[in-house]
Amino acid sequence: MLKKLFISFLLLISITASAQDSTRAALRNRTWLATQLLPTPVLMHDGNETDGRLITSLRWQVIPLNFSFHANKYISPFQFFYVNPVRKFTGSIELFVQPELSLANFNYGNIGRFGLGTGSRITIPVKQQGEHMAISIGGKYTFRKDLLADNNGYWGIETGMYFIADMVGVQFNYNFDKRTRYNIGLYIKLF
Amino acid sequence: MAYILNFFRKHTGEFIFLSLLCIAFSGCWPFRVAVENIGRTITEEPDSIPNKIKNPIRDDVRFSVLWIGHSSTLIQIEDKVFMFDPVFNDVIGAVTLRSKEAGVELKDIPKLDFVMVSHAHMDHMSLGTLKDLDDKFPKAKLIFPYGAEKYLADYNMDMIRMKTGNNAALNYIGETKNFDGVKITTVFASHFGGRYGLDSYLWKVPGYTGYIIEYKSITVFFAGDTAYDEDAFKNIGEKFHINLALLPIGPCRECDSTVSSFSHVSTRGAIIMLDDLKADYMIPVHFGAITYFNDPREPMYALKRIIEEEPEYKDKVKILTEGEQIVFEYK
Repeated sequence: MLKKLFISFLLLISITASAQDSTRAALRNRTWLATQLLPTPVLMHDGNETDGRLITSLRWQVIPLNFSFHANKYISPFQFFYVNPVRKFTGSIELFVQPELSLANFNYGNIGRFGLGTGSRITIPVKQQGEHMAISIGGKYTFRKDLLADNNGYWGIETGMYFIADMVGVQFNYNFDKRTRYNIGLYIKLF
Repeated sequence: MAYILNFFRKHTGEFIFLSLLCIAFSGCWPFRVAVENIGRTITEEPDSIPNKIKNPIRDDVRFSVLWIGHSSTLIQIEDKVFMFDPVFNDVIGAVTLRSKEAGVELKDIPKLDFVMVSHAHMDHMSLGTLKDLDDKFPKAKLIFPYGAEKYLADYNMDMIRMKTGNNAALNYIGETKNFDGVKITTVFASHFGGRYGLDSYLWKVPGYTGYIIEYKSITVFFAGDTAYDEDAFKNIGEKFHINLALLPIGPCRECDSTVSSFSHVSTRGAIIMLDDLKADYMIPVHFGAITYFNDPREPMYALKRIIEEEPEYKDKVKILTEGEQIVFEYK
């Protein structure tokens, strides 16, 4: 069953491409949704006071709200979920949500596999108005269940570097918590 | 949950690989081109152009055209200066190294009145170049088709969006605007909008056009990117007396024989377009910079072959090299 779902997901984009009876908006929504389901791999630190290791996780990128600093007079500076890359990488501030699922237990940190990060970041253009390269800096709070104590979350800071119209990048997190001090992950997002 | 985790754990590599394939096949052309070009883009530079023209705009010239490269073109009609589809950067779309650098230095352009964007594809509109033009010519007018505004930042230039006329129901005319004696009309093109793959190929967002410029009895047609459409271009040829047509001649696989793909007119198709438009002269563009499927100059070679076989086009078709300028003798 799961395999069928997985294959269906992978084929969704190409299937929708040939959907003749769809309106353009419906086609856009479905293909957009399909691309948002693509996770990005993240290496997460799993540690305690004496030991540590890296474990692989998957992270999804959701942007509920983006405000562009350089929107022209014909378009709104506000975008919700669907974010045109130009309005983002030319300079913007946004709220983000990042569901995370680790592929192994946090044996040292003793925290849950599923986390939900939420925060805000500013994107700053570096090269070609940000289309060739942009950077970001932000803050984040991650909700993640502690398996031993009542300490279900942690604060962190995030920096990122993005290329090819904000579609590919790298994000680095420094968390103010020894259970998972560092995260480094790829960033892949289409709109 | 455990089953899901195990599945991902066992198949992480495949999952990432298939995800990337998924992106590629979804129409994300920068991804595909990146894979093909990334090494060259990082390690090489485009061929330089020696002896670039230092004074492209001159008071003693009534009508001149300088081909910057690919579709970027600088046109002077008396006291007005137009630039079409400006792309000056060596790397197009963050991943593709152009074969030859831009044919003129921005610092050598003393004046610019109109920046005309036919559509938002990366080989026709560079955000970095627009920013440079905005810094140097903040009083210029930036003209673009409806739909392209989503891919533009905010500029000091006067941003003017124009309606498009990309179908027969509109009689192939979008709208005409008059700026201090310069008449600009958007006309038919058959292409696709967007910029980043999905929006172009799947969502088919609007935002592409051709332009007619009329000023001081000179009429220029800039086709942008377009496929061939007999009815449309014959119609445009009837409506306007075109002195110069800037026509794309590629990309194409069998440039001598095929007329058009679904989105690009071929070299042979451009010659047919020239006949349909009844233009006095044609300058070929949209070749030489980017490797699509063969030598980027193949459309130009094909054009030379066609002219050799059909010499009636010899005087009408002016093939320029990057950075070359031609002065037309119109009174």
